[in-house]
Amino acid sequence: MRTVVRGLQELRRYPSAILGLLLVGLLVGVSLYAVIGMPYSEAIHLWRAGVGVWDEYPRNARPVWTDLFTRERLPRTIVVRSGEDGRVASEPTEDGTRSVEIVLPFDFQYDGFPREITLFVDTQMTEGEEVRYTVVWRTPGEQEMTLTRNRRVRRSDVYRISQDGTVRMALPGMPAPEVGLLADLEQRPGPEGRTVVKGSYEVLVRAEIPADAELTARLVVYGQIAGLAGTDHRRRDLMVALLWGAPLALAFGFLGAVGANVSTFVLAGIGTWYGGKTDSVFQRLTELFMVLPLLPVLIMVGHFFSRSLWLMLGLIIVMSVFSGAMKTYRAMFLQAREAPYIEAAQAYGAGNMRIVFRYLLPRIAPVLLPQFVLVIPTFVFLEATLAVIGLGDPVLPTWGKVMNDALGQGALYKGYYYWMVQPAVLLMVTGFGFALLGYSLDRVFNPRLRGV
Amino acid sequence: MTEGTLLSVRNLRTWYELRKWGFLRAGYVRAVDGVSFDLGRREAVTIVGESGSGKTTLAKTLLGLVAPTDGEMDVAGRRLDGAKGKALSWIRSNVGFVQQDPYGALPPFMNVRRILSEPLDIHKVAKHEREQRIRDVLKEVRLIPAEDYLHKYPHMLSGGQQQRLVIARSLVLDPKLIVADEPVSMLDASVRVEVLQLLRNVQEEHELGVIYITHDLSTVRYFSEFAFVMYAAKLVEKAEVKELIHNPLHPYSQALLTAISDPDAENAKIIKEVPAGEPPSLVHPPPGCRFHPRCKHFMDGLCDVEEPPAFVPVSGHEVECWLYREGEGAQGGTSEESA
Repeated sequence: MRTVVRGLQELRRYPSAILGLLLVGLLVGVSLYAVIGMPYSEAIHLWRAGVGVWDEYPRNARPVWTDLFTRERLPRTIVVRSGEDGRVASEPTEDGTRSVEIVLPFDFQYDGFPREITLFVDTQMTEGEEVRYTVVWRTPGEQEMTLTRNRRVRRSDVYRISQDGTVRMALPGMPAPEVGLLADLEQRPGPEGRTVVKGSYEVLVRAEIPADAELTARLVVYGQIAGLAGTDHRRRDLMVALLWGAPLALAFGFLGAVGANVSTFVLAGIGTWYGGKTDSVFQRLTELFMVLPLLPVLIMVGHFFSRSLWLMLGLIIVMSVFSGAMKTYRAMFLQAREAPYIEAAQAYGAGNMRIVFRYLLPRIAPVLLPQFVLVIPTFVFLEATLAVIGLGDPVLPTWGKVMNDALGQGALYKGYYYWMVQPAVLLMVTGFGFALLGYSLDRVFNPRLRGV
Repeated sequence: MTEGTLLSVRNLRTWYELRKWGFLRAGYVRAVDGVSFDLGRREAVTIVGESGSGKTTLAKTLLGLVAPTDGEMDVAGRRLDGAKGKALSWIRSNVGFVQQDPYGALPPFMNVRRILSEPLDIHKVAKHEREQRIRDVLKEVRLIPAEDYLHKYPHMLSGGQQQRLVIARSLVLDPKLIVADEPVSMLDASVRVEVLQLLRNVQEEHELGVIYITHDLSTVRYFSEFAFVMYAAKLVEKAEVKELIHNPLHPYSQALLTAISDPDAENAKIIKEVPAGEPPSLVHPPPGCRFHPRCKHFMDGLCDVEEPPAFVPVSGHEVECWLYREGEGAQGGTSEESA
């Protein structure tokens, strides 16, 4: 214990150790923030992206900070709700219904076109009835264009304006409705593409509804940038996965290191002390597991049984307990076990377990600490590897899972670099932080490296 | 065994098995081969012998760290060999052990308080008594004031202090017998006498039995009443210390005494007569008397055939040498030697 405490104090002398500690501290801080700020069930709910969760997020949007590096102001998502910014006008008609006009205004001052435009219409009325509504687009130049006429809605309807073929046909020469609706129609398309007409747009929703019914509308003009980390193909904010990936990665790494490295250490101590059959069994098991390939076994289990992160972790631990480290530790324990103080302890009656845990293990513990720190990122990487090759936990938001999605969606081919790079950078930072800390610890606790 | 006997050893043998190919026996190392002696309460005895004579194995056997192959051992009337469970625990708390290398004998990651409380913890001494016991033993080995030492780690102590701490640890369970295996051989000459006298004082104060094992005859006189000479796994001569020093009977003891270095300028001119050859292999000890290949009194047809039994040429002085057989004249050999 004393050597450990003294060694930690000595760490301050190494700048790399300070940097490593900072990085690891940062990761731990992020993990705490994620776990406290977004409870597990909420994170899972968000990540599973049920209906309605990510309605207002664009697909594959870049992180908002990319705006800092572009000359133009990239559009952000605009949401207009009939109950908030929208104006609702309603007057009764002769035949006992109401005529409703919802005006959804928005001010568009960006240099780029939106990704998509979608109108969500909800009604509250008697079951089985239906309403027909008309949508009109009004530009800053007071030009009006009817997008759809007498569109039916029973309870709720999603009108994806960007995908409406009729609108597309009505805007000849425009690549997509969301471009045509906002572009300067007079302008000939130049080498830099079309320009946006900036100003106040309005979307009008007109309908005749039963007197006791309600009609609400919500217009979402999807931007090209969203969130601090961007979004993926399922409109999910990647921040969820990047934040929650940290505690999962650390937990996986830490548990893996405890399970595989610390238990290897303890078992090596026990095997060496008892010797004989115990030692033989441990050694033969080690030799067996040293030649068993880890990844293929994991792939097999992942395909035929379950891909749960914790099952994988358990399997990895079981297969790593009797690993090569067992041989290294055994060599150290064989030497430590001959120390006269162990003989003295036997002479004053210390039992076998006491000797192992109080006399044998503490002697080698200073060597374990750097090993332990260095082995954490290997488990983090292993988790990411499993996720990338398709063995990631189907539920949990991990960094590897994000990379797996990015790979599957051809993110690099399509130019969504942020999608692949962000989790990769986080993995690298994790590896870097633990490596800096681990190698510094190694220099402190491993006398052969001291002063080199 | 009489009432005053603390330790009684009869015909003790500790053989280490040599293995070839894992299971074929290649033979045995006869590290202790037929040792018998008695030790009274409050008695200290020195066992002298050179490297490889089996001294340390004898110590380990007495401590129960190595199982004897054959023979009997009793401590205060309790059977020691093959003891298990409670009996073994009783022995552990009643036989203290002082080792050769004081730094190695102390766990480097424990402080003085932990080192001394470990035996108390193992033998379930009540918590309130522990602190008092620790302070008492520190005082006895003159590591005072105790507060200065309780939080120190072994590397912060000098060699002499370390060895005194080892002695303190062997005393902390209030044992009846202490086995000290070369307790001063790794210390500076200046602190040897101090540590030995400390051990002696402790022995007298607590009326302990002490077995002091050494290769250095010059330290014997500081310590014990009796001295046994060990050669090739056997105790070849047993006598009171004064008697042994002034009147060594066994040719090997005589050689050992001659070899004691003495800081006298005159000695530089004297070439000491040291027996030729080396101590014999303990795997294949020589037949008969084990010293015969090196002995200048070698008697052909006797010494190399039959093992000498213990003769008592002088009262209280046992020797295993054919020179002192009945009828040969007990004083004969001695006078010849001292001449």
